[in-house]
Amino acid sequence: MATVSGTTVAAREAAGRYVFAFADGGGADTAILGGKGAGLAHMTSLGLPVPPGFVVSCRAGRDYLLAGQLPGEAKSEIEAHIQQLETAIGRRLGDLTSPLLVSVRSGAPVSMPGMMDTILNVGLNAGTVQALGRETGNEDFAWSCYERFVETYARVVRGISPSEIEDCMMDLGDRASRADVLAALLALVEEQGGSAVPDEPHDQILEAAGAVFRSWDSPRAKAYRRFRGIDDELCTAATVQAMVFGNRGETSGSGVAFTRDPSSGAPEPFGDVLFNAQGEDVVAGERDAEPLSVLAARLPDADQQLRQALGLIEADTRDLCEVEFTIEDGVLWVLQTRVGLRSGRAAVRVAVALVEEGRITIDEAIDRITPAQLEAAAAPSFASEPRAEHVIARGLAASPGAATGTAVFDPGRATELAAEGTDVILVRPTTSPSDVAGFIAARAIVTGRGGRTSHAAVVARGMHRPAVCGIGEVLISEDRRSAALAGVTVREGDVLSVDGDRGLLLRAKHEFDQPANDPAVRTFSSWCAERVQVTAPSGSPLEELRVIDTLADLESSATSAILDLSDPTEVPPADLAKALVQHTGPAPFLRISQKWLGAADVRLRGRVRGIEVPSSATSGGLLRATLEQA
Amino acid sequence: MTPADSEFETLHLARIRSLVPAEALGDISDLLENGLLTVTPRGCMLTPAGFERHEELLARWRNMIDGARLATTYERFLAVNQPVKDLCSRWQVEGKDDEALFMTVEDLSEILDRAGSALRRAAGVVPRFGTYPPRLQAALDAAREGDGRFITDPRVDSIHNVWFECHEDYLLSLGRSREEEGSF
Repeated sequence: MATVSGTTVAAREAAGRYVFAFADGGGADTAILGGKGAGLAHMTSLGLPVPPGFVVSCRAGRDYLLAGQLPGEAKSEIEAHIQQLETAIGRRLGDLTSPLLVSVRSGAPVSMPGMMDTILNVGLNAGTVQALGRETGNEDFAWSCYERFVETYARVVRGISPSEIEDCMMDLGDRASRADVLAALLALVEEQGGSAVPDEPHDQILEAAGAVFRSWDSPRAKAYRRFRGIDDELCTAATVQAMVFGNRGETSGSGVAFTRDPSSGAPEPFGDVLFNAQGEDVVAGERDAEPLSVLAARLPDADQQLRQALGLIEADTRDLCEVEFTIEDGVLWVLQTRVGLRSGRAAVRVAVALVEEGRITIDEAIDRITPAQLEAAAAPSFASEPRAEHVIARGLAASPGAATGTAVFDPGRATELAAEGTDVILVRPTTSPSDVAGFIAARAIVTGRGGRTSHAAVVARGMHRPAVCGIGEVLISEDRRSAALAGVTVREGDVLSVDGDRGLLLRAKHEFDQPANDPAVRTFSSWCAERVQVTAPSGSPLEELRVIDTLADLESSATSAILDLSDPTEVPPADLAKALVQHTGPAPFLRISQKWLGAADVRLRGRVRGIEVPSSATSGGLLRATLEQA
Repeated sequence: MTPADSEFETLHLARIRSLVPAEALGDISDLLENGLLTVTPRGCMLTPAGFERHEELLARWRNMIDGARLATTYERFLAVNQPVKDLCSRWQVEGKDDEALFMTVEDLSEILDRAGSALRRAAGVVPRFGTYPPRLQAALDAAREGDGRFITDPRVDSIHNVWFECHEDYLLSLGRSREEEGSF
């Protein structure tokens, strides 16, 4: 190895080092830095603007758990790295003007999401909390950070149980001031947790790192390791990182960006930004976030930095990614990136686009698409963006799919009409449990208030009903036979369409798009078809396969082919793939007669995964195989 | 319990759940006779008259309980309401395999443990709130045994269902609405 600065993390660890800055180099040092730490080091090495920090290694964790304390060398290395960190970000721990606050997070070599502990806002005390209040211009925010810090400290660092904390809070009653709550929490830690929360931020960091290491042996983490068969000897690392704040004024903000549109798959950055706010405000949806496109005009530098970061991330992962970011005083920071969740339609379109851009192979594309995504891509949707005059209201696309039916505003009435065979669209201001019967009866659900995690959205997705939430004020008349929906009058019986993909409530019936009309779905299906291979049991020639019928799948609305294998010779094996795609569209479900499956050792090779026993609703005792790679 | 109490509790349950199997309500012959409840093939539900009668009894009942003490426990319930909803939502969007179920159960059990403190205190004010923790526990146990329906499926006594009912019970008991507190 050459110079000291060029030495790899692995070589330094071998030489006895315990602590590594993110900027010490990427490389796949997950075994040393843990997944979280290695990920941040990797992002830093890509040139992404990651808030600076350092990792106390897994080996330090193992030593801590053996000896009950951190090795002396590890402590002095931490001190040295804290100084570096202070220089890099231009803030100091405990400073009464612009204090540095850090997060201390767990991260094992093997992913154990959420199983171990994390402590935020380390560095707060009676002095720095006031500085944070001044800097953010929001005293309430600063005190609530402090309260959460002390609460986490009580639980995670000092092992006080959540129910003890809850009891302590409720003993205060509901007229307690912020100061009372904090005093009670601090007293609880002192009485039940051995000693007071240290005021000195350096001591807080050391204690927090110890707690993160101990969380490796929490019952929850142990149970998870047993479940996943993870080695108990690995241990976690502790990652210490500067915290950045998106609520330091109008040139600050937080947001979530996708490298492509996760709903439609369109190859354009997509996302939300909330100015003068922290990340959790974006997620909570209490304030309305603005589309990412406003960033170019308001903070052009940050916009430029974000676009550049999104490009780097997608080039590295070769997939659609979701990126959490914060802008602090006009400077962009990337906090987290992960492969982004996407709709079935977007999944297929993005996979096809990435092949066409030469980023992934056809086989990779096929491997990335799950049967459920393909099924969703094949679910009906409305053909095109509707004309503006048809749009009654826009809301959140809370549950995908499209449906048409008559407007109803009362859950009981929805049940009645559905029992008579009417397709019903249930529109409610909000939801309560008593609406659930109406939900079951309705083809689609619309609510005036509530976001993607509202009760209505959860229930609708659970029942595979398209839903649009948060369309605005829904005022239902006394007799429940008409309503004003975001200012537009609609009467029971009016025909409405709900577009759960675009988040639209529409007047009148709209044309459904057949999935085959989506060129990406067509391309993808043809790739799958080329790879379909079905092998019959020995002695049963493939020629016995015959497509006798097609059947609309009751649950998914995808079409399936029924293959009767007992009756010989109609479809030659070479044509099978073609026949399947022809008969089933882009989501080929192969139904094979029970008799045939029961009688012999059926092997469906190639793009076939799993055989499901269908629900009793499926007639004819058919089994279903989902075609994809084995 | 006086007959009026029992009438209130029965109507209240029907109000919260919308459709209740008759056997869960005990003796309802009087309520059926008075046209306050009606039987449908899928369960009992309130008639418009039953709805009105419930409102009337509810208003009277509210004056008899220690609303301030109940409200204190509600604040703590609300503090974990969003995390519970987020976990339910995450389960529906991301989770379908054993590992997702394991993690959802782990995460929910920690949060429900917290909520348990509040609900036990609430039961000290209004005994009915004591029925929620065992139902949440039963759903959690069923999910832990591998039946993922018990997280959010509206057709079983899932965690989301029970949570949703408990929230509604709080709102009705305290005379609040989802609109005014911004919690849906």
